[in-house]
Amino acid sequence: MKPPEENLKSQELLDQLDDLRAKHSMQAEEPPLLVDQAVRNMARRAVQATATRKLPGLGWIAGLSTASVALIALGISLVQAPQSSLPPMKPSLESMSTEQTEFRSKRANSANRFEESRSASGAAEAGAPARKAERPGASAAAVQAAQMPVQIMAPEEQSMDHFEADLADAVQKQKEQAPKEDQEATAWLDLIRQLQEQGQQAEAIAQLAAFKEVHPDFVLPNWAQELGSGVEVEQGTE
Amino acid sequence: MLAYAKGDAEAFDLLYERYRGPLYRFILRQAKDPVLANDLYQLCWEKLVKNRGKYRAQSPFPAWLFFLARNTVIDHFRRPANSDVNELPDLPSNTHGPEQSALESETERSLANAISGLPSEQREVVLLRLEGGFDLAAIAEITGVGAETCKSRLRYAIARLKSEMQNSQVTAGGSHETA
Repeated sequence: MKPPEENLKSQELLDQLDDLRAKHSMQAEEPPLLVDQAVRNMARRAVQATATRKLPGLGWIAGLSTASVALIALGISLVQAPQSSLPPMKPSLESMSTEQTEFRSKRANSANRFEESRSASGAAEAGAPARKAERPGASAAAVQAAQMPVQIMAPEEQSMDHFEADLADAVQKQKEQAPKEDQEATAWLDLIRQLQEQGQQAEAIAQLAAFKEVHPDFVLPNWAQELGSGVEVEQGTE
Repeated sequence: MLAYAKGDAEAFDLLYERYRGPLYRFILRQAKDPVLANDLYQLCWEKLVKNRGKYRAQSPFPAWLFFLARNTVIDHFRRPANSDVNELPDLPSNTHGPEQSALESETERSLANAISGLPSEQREVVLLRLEGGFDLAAIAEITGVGAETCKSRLRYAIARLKSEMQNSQVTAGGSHETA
């Protein structure tokens, strides 16, 4: 708290200055009109710019849009993440051949198991030679079908999905083709068997030779093998 | 000012009309050059517009305005390219033409000359009182020094102004007598 004398002195000083100003009036300069206008325009522009930049009550939209964009980006990245962990879209030739080999071995194993079961049941049914002859032919056709190359498109042109679909189609075609060949071969063998039973041995041998040319991989039944061995023996003796 | 800060352009017009003259003279008598004074005056208002959001009602608006003006002038003369305030030319080239200048009274010019001849610290204290009408406490707040320092500066300034005015009167009286 200042003493009153000090306050008085301060006020006295100010009064003295005011008296000086009153005695010696100074010119009252004012800014030029152009400067006035420039300042006023600048102030108005600043206010208008702020008003257009800030929409009242809509400030939350910016935050909402930012959050939406972030969510969409996160979703896209999550959706695309599993695809990046998948194996290459075009499998190599080695992997394709491996799958083919596995497929063939599975088919061969199943055919062998089928043949073994058939032969076991065929031994029990010894009184039915015609059917016995038919079964090896069927199993041979199955083995042949299992050993047939799978029709697969070039791996460079197929994706993994296409490859699996083609594989399934090839298996289905094999399943459809196998019974037809089976039936043809069986019918042919039946005919040869009938010729043999009718005593037409030469004709039966000729038919069997033709059969072997057409179906070289077909597993012949025992009587046909005996007939074939007879042919070879005869050819060897000749 | 608060109304203008909230976007009321008309409020600025009121403020500007009220303070344009005192602020301009405060800057002009320190810059001593009308062209430079125009630039600094405009720059001061630009600062005010830019910083309108920072204004708080706790401090009076005139004090804030003259604080900005003082800083604008000081910043200009503190720049390396510019000389010190005390080394500026003594008298401004007046905004009026030569004919109007001839009509000015001897006392007007002598007081303006006397103020221009003061050291910058004393001059700003005098001008803040004469143009802004501030008391010593407000002047101390604007200039950032203590009230006693302001009082001391004011005392020296008044003594010097009185002396200058007496000398000018004596000179003017002598010239009249000789005429």
